[in-house]
Amino acid sequence: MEREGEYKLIDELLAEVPGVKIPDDLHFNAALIMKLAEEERGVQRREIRISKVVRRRRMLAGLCASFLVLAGVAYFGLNNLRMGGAMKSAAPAEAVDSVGKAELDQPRYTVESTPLSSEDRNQPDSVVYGLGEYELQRMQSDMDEHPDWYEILWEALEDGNFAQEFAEADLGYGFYICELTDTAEGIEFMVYFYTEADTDEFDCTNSDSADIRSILWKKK
Amino acid sequence: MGETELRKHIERALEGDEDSFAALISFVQNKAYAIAYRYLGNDADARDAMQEAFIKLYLNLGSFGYRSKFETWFFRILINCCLDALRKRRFDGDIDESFEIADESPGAPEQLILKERKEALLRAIESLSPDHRSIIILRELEGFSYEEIAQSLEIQPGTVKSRLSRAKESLKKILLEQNPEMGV
Repeated sequence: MEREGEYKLIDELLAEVPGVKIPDDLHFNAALIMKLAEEERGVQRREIRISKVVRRRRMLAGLCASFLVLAGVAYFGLNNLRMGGAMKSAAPAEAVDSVGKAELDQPRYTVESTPLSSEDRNQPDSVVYGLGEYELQRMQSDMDEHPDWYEILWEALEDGNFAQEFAEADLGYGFYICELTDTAEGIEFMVYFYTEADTDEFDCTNSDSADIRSILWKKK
Repeated sequence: MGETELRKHIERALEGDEDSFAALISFVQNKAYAIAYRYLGNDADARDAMQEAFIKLYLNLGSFGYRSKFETWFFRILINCCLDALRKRRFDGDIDESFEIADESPGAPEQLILKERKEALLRAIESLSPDHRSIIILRELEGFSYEEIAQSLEIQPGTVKSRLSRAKESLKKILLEQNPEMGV
C-alpha cells in the first residue's frame, strides 16, 4: 500500500498533466461502423494455444502446473523451433519432423484451444491474460463454430514452407499461435513470440514483452 | 443520458437502429477519445482505436448484461483496442509517439523545468506494463473512481489500490533510471 508522501513528486506531476483536448470534428459514422462490423462478423477467427507436454513433466504438473506449462512452451520454442531453423534446407517432411515429432522422453504434443474460461485467462502463460470476458466469449464462440482448427494447424505444419518460416521466426523463449484468419490469399497465423521470461512479482507473464509476428500460410 | 434512455438505445441498436447506435457512440466518445489519446499519444491512432472499439461494441452489444455501467464496459473494449494498437505498433517497428506538452506559459526557468519533468513523466508512463499504464491513465490522468477502474479493467476493487501503488513504484523506478537528476 502507498505510504504517505512516498510518491509526492509523482503525484504532483500527474496532477499537473493537462487534460486531452477533444477535437471539434470528432465524429463517427454509425452506419459505416455497423457495416464494417457486419463484414467483420463474417471473418473467421479463432484462438489456438499450442504447447508440448512431456510425460515425465506431466507427472509434476499437479504440483506446479503453471510453471510446467511455461517450461513446456519454452522447451518447445527453444528446441524444436531451432531444430527446424537448422533444417531449413532439408526436405519439407523433415522440417515438419523437427516441429512435430518426438525427441527424448517420448514427448507428446498437445494443441489446446479450450476452455477459455476466466481461470484460463489468469494462467500466467495465457495469451488471453488480461482480456475481458467479452473477448473470451468471442474467441470461444469462434472456436466452437470452427472445430476444424486443429486440422488447419496441422495441415499448415505439414507444409514445408510454413514449417520453415515458422522455425526461422524463432525468437527464443516461447510462442503461441493466437489467431487464425481466413484471408483471400490463405490462412494468416498471428503468432506471439516471447523473447524472454518477463514475469512480475506474481509470476504472471507480461504479454507486452511479446513480439508479434504474422505468418501467412498460402493455400495450395 | 439516463439509464432508461440508455437501455432503450441499446435495445434499438441491437435491432440495427442506426440512430440509436449513433446515440451510444455520442454518449461515450469524448471520454473515449481522452483515454485512447492517453494510450496512443496522437489523434489519428486514437481515432483508429476508437473506430475498432465501436465495431466491437456493435458486435458484442448483445452480451452487455447491465451488470456494470455501460461506459465502463465499453472502456474495457476500448482499452483492449488501444493495447492491441500498441502491440501492432511495436510489431510494425514504429517508434512510440513522444508525448509533448504544449508550451502554455514559457518564461520562468522553473516552468521550463516543470514542463520537462511532466514530459519525462509521460515518457515513463509509456514504458510501463499495460496493467500499470492502464491504472495510471484511468486513475491519475482521467480521474476514474476505484469502482469504475475495477469494472473497466475487470479486477477486484481491492486490487485497484494495490496495483496503483505498484504502478507508482514502477513509475518512480523508470523515472529515476531515465532521469537520475530528478531524485523522485
